Amino acid sequence: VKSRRKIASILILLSGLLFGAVLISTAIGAVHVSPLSILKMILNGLHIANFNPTWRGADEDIILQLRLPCVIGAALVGSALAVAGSLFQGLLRNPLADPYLIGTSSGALFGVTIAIIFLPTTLSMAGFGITSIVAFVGALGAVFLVYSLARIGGRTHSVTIILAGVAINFLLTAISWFLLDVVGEIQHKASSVYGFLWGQVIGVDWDQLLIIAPFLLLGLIIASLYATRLNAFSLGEEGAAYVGVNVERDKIAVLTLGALLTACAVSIAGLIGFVGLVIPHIVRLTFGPDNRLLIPASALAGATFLVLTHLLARTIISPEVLRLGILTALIGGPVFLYLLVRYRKEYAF
Amino acid sequence: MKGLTIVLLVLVVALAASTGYLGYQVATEPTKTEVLDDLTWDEIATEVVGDLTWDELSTMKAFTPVSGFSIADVVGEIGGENFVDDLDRKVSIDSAVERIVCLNPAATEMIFDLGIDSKLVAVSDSWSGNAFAPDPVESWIETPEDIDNEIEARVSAGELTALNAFSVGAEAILDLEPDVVFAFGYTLPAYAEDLQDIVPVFCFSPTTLADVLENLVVIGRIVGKETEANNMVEAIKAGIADIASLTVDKSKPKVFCEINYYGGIYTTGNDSFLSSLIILAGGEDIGTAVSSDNAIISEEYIVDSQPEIIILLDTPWETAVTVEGRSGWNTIPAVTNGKIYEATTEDRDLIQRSGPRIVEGLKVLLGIIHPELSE
Repeated sequence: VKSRRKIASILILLSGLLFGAVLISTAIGAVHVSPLSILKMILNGLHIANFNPTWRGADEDIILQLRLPCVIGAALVGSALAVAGSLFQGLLRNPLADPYLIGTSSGALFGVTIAIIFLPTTLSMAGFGITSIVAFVGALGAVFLVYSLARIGGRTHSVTIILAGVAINFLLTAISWFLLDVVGEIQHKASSVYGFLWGQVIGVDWDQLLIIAPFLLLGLIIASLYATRLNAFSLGEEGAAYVGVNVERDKIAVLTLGALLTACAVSIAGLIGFVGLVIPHIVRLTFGPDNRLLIPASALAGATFLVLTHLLARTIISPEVLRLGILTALIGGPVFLYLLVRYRKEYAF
Repeated sequence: MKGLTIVLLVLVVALAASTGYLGYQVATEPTKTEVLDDLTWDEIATEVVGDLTWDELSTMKAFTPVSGFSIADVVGEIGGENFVDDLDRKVSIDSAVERIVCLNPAATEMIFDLGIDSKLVAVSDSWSGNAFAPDPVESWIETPEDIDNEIEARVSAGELTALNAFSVGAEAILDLEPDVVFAFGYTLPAYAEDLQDIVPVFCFSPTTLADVLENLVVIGRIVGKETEANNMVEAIKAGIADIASLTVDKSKPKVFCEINYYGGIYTTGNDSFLSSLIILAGGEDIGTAVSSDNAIISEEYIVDSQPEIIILLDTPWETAVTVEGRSGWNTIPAVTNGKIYEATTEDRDLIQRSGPRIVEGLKVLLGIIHPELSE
């Protein structure tokens, strides 16, 4: 257990890293715009200053409408997934728990499939395409389903939640692909599903961010408030109840919180694997298992990781853009394995 | 802390590598459409007067995807040396083909055009098994309508079998006792594996314009209509040359052709036949900046390129209105001038289907890119 002072200094350091990552990511992209111009554009955009534009209107759009919202979107998605992952891992006391474990991924996929088949695909609401909306609804719906399946006599067992989640994931995924196969008419639209499955922070706009960001930030703050109680969960549910935690109530709260964070992330970026599973482990290996540090540190590390991975995805073979979900595993995997081998003796979960 | 240092180190190295690459990219400039700068229209007009022949046009840069193609170079003959399909598989045909299973719409069109459609025993029907479809018999070929009608009539009358090209199994194909199967795909369909050594399966997945024409020649040889197929391909080449000769000295508006939009924007891809068609129709295709139609193109790059024309070729999710509404796209000339074209089903089949109507597709593109030149 670390002192408050030490926690604060680590978080300040991680915040600095995130800020640096955002700066670099904003400065570099498929199109070259000078960093000074970018700074001026942003200051103009915030109405802090009023520089005369020495750049094309297109450059301003590229930075302010395309690049910056995506960088911020990547940061939000990364932190939401990492926090949801650490919440689920702590609550369910399972090192394999990730944000998609309890049904969110398949629920979102099912929602997208239904939208492809039955809804006009050009529908949109408040800047969100129909797929984002149904992905969000589907993710939450599946979690609710898993939770009600696992709940018996006012109690829910962690093992039952995990197993119901896995079963629902398989079932909904199978139904989705079955529908996509059987309904021939939409076979050429089905390719869109692959983009969703690999995850991509693309085409994010400010309207979306303005709606999602408050939810996510609030969720991250609330998650931090549950840190002490999650520490109690590491004693096992009986142990947690013994030290005065209202186990059932807190379990519902943390599950809902994790599901909401994941659904928000899915609605922006589809399914980005690996971040939610591995970032909490990397943070735990580096700083220890105390949730008071683990949760906010995961938020910052997840954001930094996804911002930098996203930067690589859109610059390595620019103007081609690589699929983000492939890169997260490609870069994160070896790092995680190295840490695992290096610290395997001391790893406290 | 050590773990974190390593994470950072890896990211910094990766970042340095990518910025280094970026610097290299900036230095070498992105691929630009090759302009026909060797000859002006006046030079061509004075030298050739009137109709340009294929050989003359084929020396020009825009024709490199096609000029490398010669009918004489296409390998394969019945009972003789092996044919090679687009997946580089050697396939041999020992005797004359009388029964054809055709799960490739482009090949089906070719077979009808060659007048041997009576040899078809099955065609692709991606609609089949659709529980929601009002009409259970619908061919994959929606256009041309006469072929579509003919296929549907024959399927209804039981003279022709409709198979789902995505899910059909080897047994259903063998049951029809075909002499040859024409397939489509960038990977080998599952049934082809099972039919190995029993029935020859040709998988066509053309990338370049030359591939498209070569496939038509191969199909002609396999079905024993070599001369007819060669004549058709020569006519297609002449048709391409006619249109290219119209656009050769004209201005080259930048064209962005969008193929799909969800979780990333897809476009034509360098050296793809779609890209060649846009160039031949007198446009500068910005899609040549990416390697294939399977690569996501950067939105920043599209805005930076400032395309004057946007063609929504195969975008089930997008319309001109949604494209106009995309944030960051409002400085693009195609958006400000309202030059966003939504391709109809008919247009899409003409442009995207790698069959004998490719010149029709080229004419559609000419009408979009240079409306003043198309009658």
